[in-house]
Amino acid sequence: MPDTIPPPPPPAPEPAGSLSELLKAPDRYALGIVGGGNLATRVAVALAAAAAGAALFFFASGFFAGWQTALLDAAKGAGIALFAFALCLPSLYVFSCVSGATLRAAQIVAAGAACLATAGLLLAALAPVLWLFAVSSSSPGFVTALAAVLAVPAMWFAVRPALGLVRAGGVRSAAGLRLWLAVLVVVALQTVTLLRPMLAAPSPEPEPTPFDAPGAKAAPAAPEKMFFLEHFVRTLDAPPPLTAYNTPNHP
Amino acid sequence: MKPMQREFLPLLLLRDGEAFRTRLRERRVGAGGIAQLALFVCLACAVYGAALAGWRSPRLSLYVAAKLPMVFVGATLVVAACNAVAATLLGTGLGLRDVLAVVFGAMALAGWILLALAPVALFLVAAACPGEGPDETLRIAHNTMLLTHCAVLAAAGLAGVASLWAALRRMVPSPRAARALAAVWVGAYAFVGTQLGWMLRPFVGSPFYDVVFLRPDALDRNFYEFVFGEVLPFLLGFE
Repeated sequence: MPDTIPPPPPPAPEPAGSLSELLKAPDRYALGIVGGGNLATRVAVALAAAAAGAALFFFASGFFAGWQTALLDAAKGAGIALFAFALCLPSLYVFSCVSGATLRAAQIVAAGAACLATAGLLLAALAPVLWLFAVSSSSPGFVTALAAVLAVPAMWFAVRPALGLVRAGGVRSAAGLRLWLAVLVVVALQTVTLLRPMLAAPSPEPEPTPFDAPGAKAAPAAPEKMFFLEHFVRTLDAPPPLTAYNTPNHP
Repeated sequence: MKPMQREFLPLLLLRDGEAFRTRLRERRVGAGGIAQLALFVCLACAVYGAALAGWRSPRLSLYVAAKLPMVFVGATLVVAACNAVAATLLGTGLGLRDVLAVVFGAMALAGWILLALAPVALFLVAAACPGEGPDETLRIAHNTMLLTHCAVLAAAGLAGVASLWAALRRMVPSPRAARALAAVWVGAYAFVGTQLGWMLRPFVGSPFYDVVFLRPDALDRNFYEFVFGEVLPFLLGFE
């Protein structure tokens, strides 16, 4: 009988271009992008993961106002991720090139999608925490603040594929992709504001006015245009709804 | 990446900055190349200018699409001779054509940043800025837009300065002369550009003034008179 236990066999490598490779071995994932193989599949899988992760995160937060709002928020979340990515495609390309990218446009898009997918996967992982507080809190400000705090690590780790790209020689510096992620966050937050309310059911249809034709429905009022920081501050300041614990007659 | 013989220079600058700087160093950017860079700067500034003023009115958008290129290109042309003289005095061996090629190259990179962020600016204008409402709402919207555009223009300017510095480091043998020249160029450009911007205002467009191409008092006093005559005394409590 041998004295030493033989070392365990090395774990099987993750399938190239898979989401688990993106999470566990971002350097190898980035090397795959630089290699240029299977880019369309990589982009599709990464964007689907990003959309699903964002949907799950917003689904969890929407439970603050009930499951119907949660379902609506899930759809909004997926839309927000994809819309922000599409709107930021020009800046992704330009910022990457300014950072010394030697990649083709498709490879740069794949790198951006990988960053977004990493954020999406982390948001999905943090969704249960958000859900727990969403169903047990009364203050929309608290849930908003918690969602913002939970999103910070997601965006922090989203830069890992970009760093992998630097090590793989695809770009000279990750500064451009970091800046791009910051722009993406601004666009995503503004889209959240545009699609509000996120933590309440949409307002019921307004009553028709005397000026509307008989039987006609009044046009729904468009939400007031607002910068996302103002929306965030207003949400934080919103008072919690009256409950049995904070009514004046509570013993 | 091997550049082609007849390549669109702004694209070469974006895709392969090193190849572009090699061309600059070998004095292979001629009048045609400078014209390409200048036209690209005009286009990029026009696109961003249109987005910049979009929240106020389509007419101001049109005005600013014309005025922003005037500020960027105008300031370059006004200081071109001064820059060339400075380059000669510092013994860098750069002539007027080199000066224009380097400066328009730096501005073209800033132009790329503006073009890249134009969709984001347009989205913010469309989604975050109410065109009408109570005075307080309009004031906040105006100030928010002002800060946002200042941040974008500053980012573009920083990218431009970095590009200018990278080019000068390769073209000027003495690092000390390159540093001095970069400081003189950036200082002169900022000094003149600020005044041109002041004269050609409004850009973001205050909601409390009519939409005009130029303010009626555009030539009444300069930016520095305003700062030293009103802003500083107010901040320092001399009033």
